[in-house]
Amino acid sequence: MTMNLEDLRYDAEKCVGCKGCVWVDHIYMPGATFSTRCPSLDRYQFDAYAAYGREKMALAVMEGRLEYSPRLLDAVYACQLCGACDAGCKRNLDLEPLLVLEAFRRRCVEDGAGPLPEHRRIADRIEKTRNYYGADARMRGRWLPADIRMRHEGAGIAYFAGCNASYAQPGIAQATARVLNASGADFMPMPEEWCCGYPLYATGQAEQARRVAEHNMAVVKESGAKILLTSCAECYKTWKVDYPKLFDMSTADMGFTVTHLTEYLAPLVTQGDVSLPGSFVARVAYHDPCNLGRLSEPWVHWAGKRGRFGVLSPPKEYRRGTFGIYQQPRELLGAIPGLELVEMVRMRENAWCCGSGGGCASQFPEFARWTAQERIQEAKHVGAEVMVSACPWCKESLAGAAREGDVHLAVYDISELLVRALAAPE
Amino acid sequence: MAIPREAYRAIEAIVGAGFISEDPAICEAYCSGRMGYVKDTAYEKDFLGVPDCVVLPGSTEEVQGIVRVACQYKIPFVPASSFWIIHCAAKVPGSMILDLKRMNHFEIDSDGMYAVVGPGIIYSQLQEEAMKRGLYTTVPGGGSQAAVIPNMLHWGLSPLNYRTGWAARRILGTEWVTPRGELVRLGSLALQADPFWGEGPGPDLRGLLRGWAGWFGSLGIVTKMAVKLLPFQPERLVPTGISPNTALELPTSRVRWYNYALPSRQALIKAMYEIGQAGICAGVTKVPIMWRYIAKARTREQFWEFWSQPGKEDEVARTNILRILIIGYTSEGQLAYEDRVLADIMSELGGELRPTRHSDQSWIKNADAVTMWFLTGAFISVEVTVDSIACADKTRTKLTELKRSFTPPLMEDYGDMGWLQVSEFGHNGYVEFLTYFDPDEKDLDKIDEWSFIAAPKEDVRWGTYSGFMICQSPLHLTGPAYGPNCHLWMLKMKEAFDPDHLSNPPVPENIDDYIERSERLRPLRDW
Repeated sequence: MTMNLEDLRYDAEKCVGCKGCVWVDHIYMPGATFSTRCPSLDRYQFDAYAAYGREKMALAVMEGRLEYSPRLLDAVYACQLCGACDAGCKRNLDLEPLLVLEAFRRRCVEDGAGPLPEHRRIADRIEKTRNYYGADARMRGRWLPADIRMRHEGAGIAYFAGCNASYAQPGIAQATARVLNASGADFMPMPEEWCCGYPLYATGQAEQARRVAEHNMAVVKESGAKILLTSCAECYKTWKVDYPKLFDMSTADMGFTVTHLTEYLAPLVTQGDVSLPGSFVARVAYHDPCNLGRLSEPWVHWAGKRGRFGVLSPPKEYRRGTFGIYQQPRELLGAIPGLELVEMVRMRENAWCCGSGGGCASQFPEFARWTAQERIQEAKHVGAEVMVSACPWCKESLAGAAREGDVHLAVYDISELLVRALAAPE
Repeated sequence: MAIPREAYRAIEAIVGAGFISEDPAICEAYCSGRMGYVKDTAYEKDFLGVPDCVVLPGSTEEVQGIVRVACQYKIPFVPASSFWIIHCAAKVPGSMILDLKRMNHFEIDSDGMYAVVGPGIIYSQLQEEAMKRGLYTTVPGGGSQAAVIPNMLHWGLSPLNYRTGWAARRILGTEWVTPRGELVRLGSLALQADPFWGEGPGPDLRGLLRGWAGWFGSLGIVTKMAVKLLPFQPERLVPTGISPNTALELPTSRVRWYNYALPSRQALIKAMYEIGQAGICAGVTKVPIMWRYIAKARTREQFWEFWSQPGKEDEVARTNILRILIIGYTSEGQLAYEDRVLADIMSELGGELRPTRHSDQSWIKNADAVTMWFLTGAFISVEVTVDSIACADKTRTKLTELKRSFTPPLMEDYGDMGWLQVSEFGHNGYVEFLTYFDPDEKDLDKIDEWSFIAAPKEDVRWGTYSGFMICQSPLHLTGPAYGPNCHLWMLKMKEAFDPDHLSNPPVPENIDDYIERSERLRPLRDW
């Protein structure tokens, strides 16, 4: 991997402190409430908990003026890496705040200061059992019911269920497989599926993440599959963006396409190849997963130099969140009879995180839960009865927050609604 | 150097343990420079530092308590909301930052047409809440992320000030915690709990609060302000697009932009006068040519591809485009009438209507000030003239000539004369002279000389009034030239209210102090 923290010094130094990383895009600013996009700054209030503050700390560490401490690590890691800061900054500037935050975590690990205890525990589990939970690796594929028709090898699509759908929420994997069946997809389960490695990459444990990625990519290539499909946004972005990043290559050079269930199914529905006759009568708010929305654009490897006025040679293509997977889930939900889609105030590239990512669910569960509760309040604010997302981690986080807060709001994964909608009404 | 333990414990008792910290990591995130306007100058690199303590008050009472403790223990304090300007930083040892972001009180009186805001409220929040109710304010050129209170006290300049007037004229009832921790209520708040009006009994203290183009937190802290809102038109401005291509779609029967190309600079100036005298329009502005290329460019590299093409000098010299906003506040008929009057004026002056997008990216609700850093990574305005139109026009000519001797290291702009606009129906002309440079430039000394000495001297030479008289000019250079003793009165006021110089020291003499301490700039001091 070429990008260490020093490589990103320019990006950290040239932050101007405009707080585009914190405020919702001013064009979309909704007023005095729901006006911010950074959960950690909202929660902890000190500037060290926003991208611009973390960048200053990173510079001070590089300059030898700031030593590692529990508070520094707290500020670095109490962040979902949701990328809202990145999309906000890049509305106006050509800087890479999210890459700085990721590199800062790698620097913490390289310097022996990180990761944090829960992150280490999860890394050990992945090392030993190839999954986030430390569960029996042999049980990984047990979510698959007997009535699902799929090949066991040689299919064009490899379905990557991910740890959460394999172990914690098998209903999502089952629903996804049924949707693929109904669409006539030629698919197989990913052979020898290991954890995608997101919990490793996101916490700065790059070496181990690379080993996991190497294995997973080799397995796909060997299987002959041309499409790696998942219904987990976290796995999706890890495969599509972080794997090529780890190996200094571009997404386009991976040799196979990474696709999300919604990305795959939406054109089939809009073209009429798949119909969704079953109704779902409810006011539904769609929660844009960070990793499917603003963070999902392909990775384009860049190597070059920076000259006068910071001009790059060759020019670089910036990933600004413009072309995230926003529309496809909405098209699918819009095609379900009886479903009334209501938009939350902060949507698409401005979406408020579910709280779960960046290692926060494990190391900062109270912060993760608080973040999810803020999102639940936003859904209630627009009168939603149901919230739908496209990631098992989002569903888990948001459903947990609704339960704990005793809020009357049902939370689904989109695969669960789709499989219901595929069934003809009785 | 930590603040005294007793002081720390006293402040902790006021705000709670969760809202005060002296942890080095927390304090580092408030380190000077690396934030906001005037960053990347040598002033920022040499002069500023990391605070010893950061406090986040949640109320006026907490602010008073903190300030009283600071006075008791002689702790310099720096109050700031958005930290969008370089003054919001520790400039002397032992400083304490008061981060006011938690004070985001907001209420709005639609009938009385005013909003009451705390220091944590920014302009885009206020504008959206106002527009929901058929009202509006002006978002300053400094950016929609600027906090309302400090910006209203300083400048608040926006093209829409053309009709709404200076921000200072729209300050109503206000609460002010003095540098000694006393609470002063201004305007109608002095008599009752309703802040609806700015003038109260006795002399109007709003002038004291504003000082000479702002105190930048050196005369205490304003903890609440009512701001006048004005009637807008009723059609919604719809946000569209996905970042970075977001904009407000304008209801063109009520809100329209016009780009008129005038045949000469003189015609453009004349148009400014005529439009003002006709009493029409909502905004009249001439933007730097390069901003049009910023709007077209997807990346910095693409901007430089455009800007490096031959013929730019000629293009700059012959381009006189006046950008005009008309708002049919009362009706579609009003817009139609003003459109006709504008067309008449332009016809007489030889103006040609050019294609204009009917969307707003950066004037009504947003203001993309941060895009100024897009070109080169660093930017500084050396002038925000608020004077007559004629004086503003003269100022930009003189600064353009002077700038040649500072280019390089300043970016080549082919003689572009800056951003010129009209305020208050032609009673004011405003010019902002923006310059861009490489923040990694070896010779930042020249940038500092340009910003802090050469441009202010040019103001003095030509008698131009610039809103940067405080934050970018040596007070003892510009002061004697204007008044000639207004700077002395200002320092007397500072002495009266803050005899221990604890409120954001050494403002308002910080530039003087910097020049005195700078080995490179001190020899240039000839006043």
